[in-house]
Amino acid sequence: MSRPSLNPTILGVRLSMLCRFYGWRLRRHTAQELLAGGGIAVGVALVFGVLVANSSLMSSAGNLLHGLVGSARLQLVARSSDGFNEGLATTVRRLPGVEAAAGLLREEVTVLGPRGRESVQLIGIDPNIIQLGVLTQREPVSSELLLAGGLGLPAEVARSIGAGQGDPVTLFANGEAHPASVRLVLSGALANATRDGTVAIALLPLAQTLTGRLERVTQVLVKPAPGAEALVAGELRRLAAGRLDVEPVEEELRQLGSAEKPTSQSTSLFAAIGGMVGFLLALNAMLLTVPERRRFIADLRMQGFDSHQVLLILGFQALLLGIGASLVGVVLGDVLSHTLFHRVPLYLAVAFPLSSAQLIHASTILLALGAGVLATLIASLPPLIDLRPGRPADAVFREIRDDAGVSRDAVLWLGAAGLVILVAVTVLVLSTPRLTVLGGVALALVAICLIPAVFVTAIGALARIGERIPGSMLVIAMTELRSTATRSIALAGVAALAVYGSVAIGGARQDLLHGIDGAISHYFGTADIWVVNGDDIFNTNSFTADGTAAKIARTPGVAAVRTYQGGLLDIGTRRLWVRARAPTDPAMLEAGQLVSGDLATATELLRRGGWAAISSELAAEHHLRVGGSVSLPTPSGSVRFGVAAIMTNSGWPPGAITINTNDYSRYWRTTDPSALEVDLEPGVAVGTVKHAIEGALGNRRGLLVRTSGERTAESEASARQGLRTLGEIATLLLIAAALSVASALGAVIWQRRAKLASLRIQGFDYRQLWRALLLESLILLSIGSVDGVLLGVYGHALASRWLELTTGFSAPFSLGGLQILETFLLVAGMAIAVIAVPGLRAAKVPASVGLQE
Amino acid sequence: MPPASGSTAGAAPLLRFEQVSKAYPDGRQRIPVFETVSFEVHHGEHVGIFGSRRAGKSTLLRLAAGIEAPDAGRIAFEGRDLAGMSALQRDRLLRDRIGLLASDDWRPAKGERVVDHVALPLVSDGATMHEARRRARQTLHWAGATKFADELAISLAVGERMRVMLARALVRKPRLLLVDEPAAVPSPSEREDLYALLRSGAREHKAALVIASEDSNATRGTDLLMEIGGGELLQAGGESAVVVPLVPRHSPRQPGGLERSGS
Amino acid sequence: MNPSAGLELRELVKHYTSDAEVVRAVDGVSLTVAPGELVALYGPSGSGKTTLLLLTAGLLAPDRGSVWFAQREVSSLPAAEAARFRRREVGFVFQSFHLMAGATALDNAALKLLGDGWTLRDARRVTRPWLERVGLHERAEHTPDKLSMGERQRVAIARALAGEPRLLLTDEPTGNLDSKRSREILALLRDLCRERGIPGLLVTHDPQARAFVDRVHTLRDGHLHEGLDAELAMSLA
Repeated sequence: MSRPSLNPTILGVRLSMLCRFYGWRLRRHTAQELLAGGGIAVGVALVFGVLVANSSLMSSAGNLLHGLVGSARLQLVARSSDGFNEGLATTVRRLPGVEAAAGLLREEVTVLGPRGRESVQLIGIDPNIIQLGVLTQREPVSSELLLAGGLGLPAEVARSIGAGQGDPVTLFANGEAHPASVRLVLSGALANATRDGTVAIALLPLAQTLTGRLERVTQVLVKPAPGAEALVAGELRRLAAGRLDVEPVEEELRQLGSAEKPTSQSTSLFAAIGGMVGFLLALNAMLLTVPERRRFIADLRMQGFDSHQVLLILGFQALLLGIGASLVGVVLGDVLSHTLFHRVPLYLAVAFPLSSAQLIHASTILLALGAGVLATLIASLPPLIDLRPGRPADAVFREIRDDAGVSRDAVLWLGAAGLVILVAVTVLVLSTPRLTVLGGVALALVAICLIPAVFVTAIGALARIGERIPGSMLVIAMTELRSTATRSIALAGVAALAVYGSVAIGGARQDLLHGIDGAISHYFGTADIWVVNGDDIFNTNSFTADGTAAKIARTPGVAAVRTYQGGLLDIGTRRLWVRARAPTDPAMLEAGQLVSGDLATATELLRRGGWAAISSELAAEHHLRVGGSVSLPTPSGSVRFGVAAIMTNSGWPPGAITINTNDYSRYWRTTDPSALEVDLEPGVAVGTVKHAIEGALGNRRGLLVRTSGERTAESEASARQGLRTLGEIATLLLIAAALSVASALGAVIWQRRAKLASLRIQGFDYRQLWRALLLESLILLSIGSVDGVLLGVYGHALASRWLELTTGFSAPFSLGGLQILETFLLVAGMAIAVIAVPGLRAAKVPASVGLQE
Repeated sequence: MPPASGSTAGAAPLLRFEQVSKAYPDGRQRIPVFETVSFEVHHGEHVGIFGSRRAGKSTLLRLAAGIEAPDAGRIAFEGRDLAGMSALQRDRLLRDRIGLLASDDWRPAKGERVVDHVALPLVSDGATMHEARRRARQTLHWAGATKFADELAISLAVGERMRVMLARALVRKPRLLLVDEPAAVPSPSEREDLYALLRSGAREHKAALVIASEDSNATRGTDLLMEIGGGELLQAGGESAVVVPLVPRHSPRQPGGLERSGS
Repeated sequence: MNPSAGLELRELVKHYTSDAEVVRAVDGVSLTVAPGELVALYGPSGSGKTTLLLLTAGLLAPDRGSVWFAQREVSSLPAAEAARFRRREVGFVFQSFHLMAGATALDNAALKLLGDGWTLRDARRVTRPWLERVGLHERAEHTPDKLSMGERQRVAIARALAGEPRLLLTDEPTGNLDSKRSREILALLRDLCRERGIPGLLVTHDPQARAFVDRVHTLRDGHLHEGLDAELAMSLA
């Protein structure tokens, strides 16, 4: 009363009292509140963790990029890693309307320090970059140290390879190993941008020496004078003469966006499913407390609290629970995003400068909190049916049953609704394949709708079986399941959802991995041994040939050496993977990745030249068919290729283009290989020849010699790393669901102690009762699992199809029986393990409990 | 110790209380229910325990059924000390030898029919549900409950309930039938019928019968009648019960077997 | 004593429909309870006693008839008004005396004041004397699980009294107590009605209650009779 502002009266109840009411509740019902809060927290954590991980990838890459380009607005970009003459930068600087311009040379390299190696993007900078504000005059130390010749490494990279200021490191580039020294662990403005980036900074001349690209740059950053942007762009275009790209500096971010979209889309979808399961877990836990909260409502009303006050008190309790649980969820999600979900996708790092910085926006936190609180409020609604107008005494007068039972009508209606949705999903998917993802969500609903019918049927059948078996505890288990039908159905529903999600997500992920593995093994299967440029798994960085191929060809046991060329090519927002194979290559295309066209014809056309195989999304985007033609922006200008075949994306989300090396050399104006394919003579040992080739390469230590199998494995590992989050979400979801179902089962069993005691008085010993309890739990979980598996397999098929359609990956459907079995065993095993002890304690409850109220 | 055979009429009494005491925690204090009570129940004998509400009758029956342990003293069933048995052995005793009928003990599952409710306990002893149902129908018929045998168990009125509970207890053919408060039935005429049924049931099934009730009609005419304290006999400040033999044992088997205690 | 502060039930009728069968829970009940008077209502289970109490407290709306208290028709009050009536004027002791498990005896007793904008501190100050009155001053800080059944019942009574009610409605207040404690509670209720001059209605099974009330009524099959009817008299004998 003295401080009304701190303790206002809301609808006649003091704010402090609202908190106090929850305190009283929490003190008595700690376990239930924890259970409900746990569900909310898990859901919030999954969604928040994935949101942060996904948005961090883009926004930290954005920060990095903006840090690197400073105040530049436009850029001139080379169409291959070979770049163009640095003199062009000087020309640009003299163009009218240009305020500043600086050349950059960017190339993927590997740095090796005392404690490890790291794949980074080497960025060679021209001192003019100071005019773009990237390095400022206020950071003379940085500039000087860089000028002194040396590498600048972000703190994170320096730490991970174990190199500090002044330490020598080895830098692998252009197939060679170069000694270099760390001149500075980056600090200041540049460091802020690159702190967690996978980059290394050097002055242009040093970078050019290291990468063997003397006097070359790959990019010129341009800062037009105010208002002169259009003018400058026109001038640049004239200068580029169709052989270089002129684009805004942000273009690269859009390309990154399109490259990471499929992955982030699928993780978001899976996280959303995870969030939904979390909410259902919470709802389930809240349902357990309904009878008790209805009594609380009854009591308040008898003491003269009106319905608004009751609503306020209960709503406030839900609000506090929701806020608490969501906060825990956000913290957990933050931990998840730093641990499990935190990784820079290796396959993206090949093509983009990435940063592993975790950026959490206030809006993300608010979104997660809001969703968590809303979910809690919704989950706490059921007892409020007692507040319906005109029925104040319902809660008091009607006996509050713990379980109101399910009516036959409800079972039939829900079952029918489930089947209708199922049919609708099938029709939808067949007619509008792009909406497959909606089908996946609707199937979750079907799983829930069908549960009552599956439950009733299964219980009926099992009860009939149980009646024929002498002394079978099945009879008890069935009687009890029937009498707690609503709750049991809710629990089976949660199990079904978890299994559904896990089977659908896990299966689709498995298909995706199979598809990618298939593509990779076909890709590397064309030669016995590959000589590759360091960690470049996509073979996109060329190296100076220097007679290397000839040296290898002379090695005993080698039958043939072929040049493989490749790089990245930007078309619109797609950074495409260009692969060029020698016409003599046994396979120009990966057989399993063909979407349309004839393999033999396409191979023939590719060998002949002037033809390209392109990925399905690019084809879709430009309305291309086999036999049509596509125009590619090459370093020699725009070139038309015939479309020989349409392929999957071969494991690179933005898509791939395959041509032959003759065309590549001609239009990309280089004969430098990005890898060498080596065929062996029949009967020679691969290992011996591999060693011999390594010997023959001598000082070119940056080149790695790998058997086809080894390179396939390395590549697959990197692809799997990018998709691990999907698997982790599926597993987390399953574990959370199993734990929650188990604890809810435990709570239900505990509430039934009196009934168990009564059965003991009637002659059942505690071991029989324990068996009955375990049987009951197992049956319940099996019902949920069977329902979940059946729909999960359908959902899996849909998800795989969706992945193929929208991401361009190959994801051939395969049932994955083993994975389904694992899922079931995990759920059942965990649940049984969790309830075994409370179950035994409940079965051993003193029989006298059965005689008390 | 191997379980005693059911037909040992001579050797050990069916049930024997020796100097048994029991107190209950109520809030911070322990309230003694009774102290150093001793008595015996023999095969086929009918025993009445008379006492007012909350006087400790139920406690006595629970101790006899082995589902609660005494604070002091010894309780033996067919000569075997209940305290010496494992939980499993005590459970088996409830299955094979003792039927406990308490008016509170009515927790049929939702949707359970009366016949199934009565049949279910037989499953504990290895019967199939089919066989159990057949025997349950016989017993229900005997208890005059055939006409609601197929109704939902939760829908029964109190009087019907008691008959079903009696059938449920007798269907396992116990040696000892413990009945806690049959007077819960509201109508006096129904009550009398139930009392008669209890006695004839025990006789027909060759079980000893212990009836605890606040209704003196329920305990009238038993071989042994005991009153358990409370009511006006209460001493100020305590609720310690007194067990008083009001009617001497009809059979002269054990003169003086019942001791006055607690006063 | 103020004669206008009496309770009057006029021709109350309340029916329930369950499984297509109409249950006449209260069927034309009229009853007047004068200020200071405590009236016992006996009846077998399911005879409609609880329904009658709920009607009186404005928790149920009658199908016909009316409830009058202090010259106001309680049965036609809108929901929020009826809630205020219960909060400010009715002391309600319910059969199973739900207490909030996590709260102390004192806080439980203070409950209804909290719906009227009281701070806990003020509510406790006002409630404490009532807890002393029912003999629980030493147990004020204990939660219900630390209290005996009798003590819990007394907390429920203190709660009913803390708002200084003008009408006392009790449903089986001695249902869980032994006979000695029952007599104490009954005496307390009688004394309260007398000294405060408020009407009290006591629904009970307890034979002892007859000695503590001014009048006895029997409710059977929804009908009210003066005194005990033959069947009840026999079963309570």
